[in-house]
Amino acid sequence: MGRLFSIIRQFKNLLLFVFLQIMCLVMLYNYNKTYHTIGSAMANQVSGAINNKFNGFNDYLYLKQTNEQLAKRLEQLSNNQPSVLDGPLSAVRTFADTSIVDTLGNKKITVRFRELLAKVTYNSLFADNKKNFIQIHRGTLDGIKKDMALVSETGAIAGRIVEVSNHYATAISLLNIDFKVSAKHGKSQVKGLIEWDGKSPDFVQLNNVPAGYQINRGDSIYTSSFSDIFPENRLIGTVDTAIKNKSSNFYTIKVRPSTNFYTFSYAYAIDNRDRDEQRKNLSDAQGLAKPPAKNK
Amino acid sequence: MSKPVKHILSALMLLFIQVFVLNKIGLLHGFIHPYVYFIFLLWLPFNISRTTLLFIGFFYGLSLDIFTKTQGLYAFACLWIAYLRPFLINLFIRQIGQDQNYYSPSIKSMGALRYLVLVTICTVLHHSIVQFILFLSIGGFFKFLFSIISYTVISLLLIVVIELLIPRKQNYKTNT
Repeated sequence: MGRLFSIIRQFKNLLLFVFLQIMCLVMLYNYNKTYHTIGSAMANQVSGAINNKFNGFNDYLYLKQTNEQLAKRLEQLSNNQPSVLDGPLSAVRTFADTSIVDTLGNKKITVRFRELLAKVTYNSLFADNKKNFIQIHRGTLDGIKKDMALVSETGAIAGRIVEVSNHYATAISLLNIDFKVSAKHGKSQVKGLIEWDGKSPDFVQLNNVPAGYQINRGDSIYTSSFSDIFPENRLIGTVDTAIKNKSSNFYTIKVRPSTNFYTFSYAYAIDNRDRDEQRKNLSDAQGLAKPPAKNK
Repeated sequence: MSKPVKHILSALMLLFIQVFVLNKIGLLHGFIHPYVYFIFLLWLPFNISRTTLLFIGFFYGLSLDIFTKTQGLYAFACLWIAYLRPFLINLFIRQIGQDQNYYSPSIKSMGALRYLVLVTICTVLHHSIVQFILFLSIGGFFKFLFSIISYTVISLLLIVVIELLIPRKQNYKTNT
């Protein structure tokens, strides 16, 4: 026993080194899978507070662009409101799920999607591991939950929230190789999958679109109704190039995101209130569809 | 200013430069991402115990990880630097026992060329480890090789500039 202790004492630095290395690797590979490790909420809180301090300076530089974007958003929202002059027509017209008031000005009781304005405290574009993150100054105390959608000032999608602490929340950005969202082409309504290949922060890829459809430069790409995180018909971006891949008979489409990640300073977090029900329903159905276990 | 306070301040300064300047300027020529923060581990005194050095390396790397959301990646690379530093310093000091005469590794205490070789080895080590882990998860073999070389060149350039801008004054310590 004494020998064992003397060996441990002799190699204590090597053992400590190996132990800390294993700890690093465990953290690294667990985080990649679940985006959540021990103490990550605390780390989020600390980095959030510091990022927030330094963000003040950055915001000052982009005041003009932010102002323009907010004005645009205001215009969109005010166009969505029922006008007094519209008369009975407004009663027939269908409105987006996102409006909180109904045609009479009363608050709707069941709003499926609820938006919360948040300030962006951190946004990376050039992460070495191709995993960019957005941090916002809103947390559990403000009603932010995991798996809420994040859209930019103009309403175009920007990310998905993966980590929440009391006052801050972190989202994986559209520019993250782990981010995937179901999308559709505006004109033909053909569905595809938006992914980022990690090459340039100016473009994302739209995959799984069959070559039979007509897709042109400048066409809009929206979120589809398949997602239980993102509301339908939110702008993702516009088509930059669409090349038919002859071997696989699918398109290779480059999409320019409508979110300007370079001057991104305010975001809306969107909560889907039916999400749990949606997921439960789907998983129940999948459980039913499975063949029953064989009894022998 | 006492020595520990100086070390803490330089650690914070280098982290600040790494997180809010070098990580924000974008990729040089589309793919080069410079790193300078790990130079702090070489600035620590000669007579620091190896156990302390390992802990400092681990937590220093982890503090960068908190900002870049890469739990454990840079801590892993920093641990290697912290572990190999005493061996490398023993290889590169001018004469045996010289580490007793100066406070910490620098151009003055080790000689410009020897110090540069030490820094180069640590830079290559850091970039190889980080890029190798990223290569395992992302792929791209030639990008992996090319990024080690290009990142090292740019990082070394920045480190030399920092060393020239902030000369760390040291006196020759004697027993008398």
